[in-house]
Amino acid sequence: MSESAAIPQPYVLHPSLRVLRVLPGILLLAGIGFLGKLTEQTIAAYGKAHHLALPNIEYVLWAILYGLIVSNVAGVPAVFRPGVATYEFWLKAGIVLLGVRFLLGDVLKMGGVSVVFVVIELTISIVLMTLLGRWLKLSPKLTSLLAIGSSICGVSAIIAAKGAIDADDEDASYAIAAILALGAFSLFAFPAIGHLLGLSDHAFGLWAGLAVDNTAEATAAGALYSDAAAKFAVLAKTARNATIGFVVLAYAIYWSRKSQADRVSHKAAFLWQKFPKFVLGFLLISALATAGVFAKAQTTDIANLSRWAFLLTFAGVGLQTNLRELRKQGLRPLAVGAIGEFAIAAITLGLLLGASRGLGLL
Amino acid sequence: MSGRSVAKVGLDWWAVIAALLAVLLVRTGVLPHILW
Repeated sequence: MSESAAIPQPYVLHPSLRVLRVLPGILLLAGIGFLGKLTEQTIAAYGKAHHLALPNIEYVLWAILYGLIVSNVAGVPAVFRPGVATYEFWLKAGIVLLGVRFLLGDVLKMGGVSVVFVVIELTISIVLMTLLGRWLKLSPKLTSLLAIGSSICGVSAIIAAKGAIDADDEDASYAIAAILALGAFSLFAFPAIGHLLGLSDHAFGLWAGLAVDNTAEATAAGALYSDAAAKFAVLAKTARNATIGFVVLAYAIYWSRKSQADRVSHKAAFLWQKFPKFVLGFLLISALATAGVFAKAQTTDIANLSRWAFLLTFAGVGLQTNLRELRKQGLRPLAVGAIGEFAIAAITLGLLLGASRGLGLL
Repeated sequence: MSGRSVAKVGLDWWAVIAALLAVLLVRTGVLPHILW
């Protein structure tokens, strides 16, 4: 008898079968997303046929709502979970493909404007969250995680920072829960405020990209406003994401000086490790589009592929939001997050209004 | 939050590779017109 038969081996799926594990969940994402799209089209067709002025509610909202209902009423069965978790992959692939709709010069120009706002937003967020965390007596590392999560890119930033500053699992899940709960709220609040103030697509997109923390929610908030706003939201959010390495590095150095985290020996390697690589893909596709590599019809095809990828993402946002779990995480981190986020949203909105109406920049 | 924790280094590269592959298929005409 062979040795492997005598010693029980852990059950390992053959790589080709691992793909099968994610299939049911991906089909669920596609089903819910497509149902959202059908709902939007059905309502629009009904209004047109009956000469009714029905509000145009984008598929984005329907996909998120259906996802929320499935996950919070019925729950997501285990067989679907690996596939549902791929929604981050679709988000990033969608952003890379969206690069085709940007000319590189525009990216640099608009990215330049965004970077100015990003620097202001980062500074305000970090200072404000740190002061609030101290005031409400949160643990210092939880305060750091909330500051990083609210200043850069929500969940990915918190996960990146958790290892770098040696934070507890509990603190990380508190911070993630607070950021997600506020992200879900922003989805509904931001477009309503934007319409109330009559913000332009450019101004609204920048605002969503600067003030909504998680990339999926920022993209969804932009898409809920308009297609053009989604473009600007993705651009501003991508500029914000690109700073992740610098901010996490600064926190890692701060905590290692306090001897509560490992020292960072190779700063350049650390920055590269934390840099969101999909930004490079986005710039590459944008450069190819600028060089005229794609015909007009191909540009439309690639942009449509990006929309399909986002459709899966938005269904995933709803399916991943477990309201009961968010409630269980306690109120104080949520309070710090909520006060901070509200202030950041108000300040960035003020800055953008000043830039768009006062200076005529946007 | 287990689903959220898939956002690790590595996922980004896979997303870039998949997107570039899709772009190549569109550019070479292998993928038919993508409707929305």
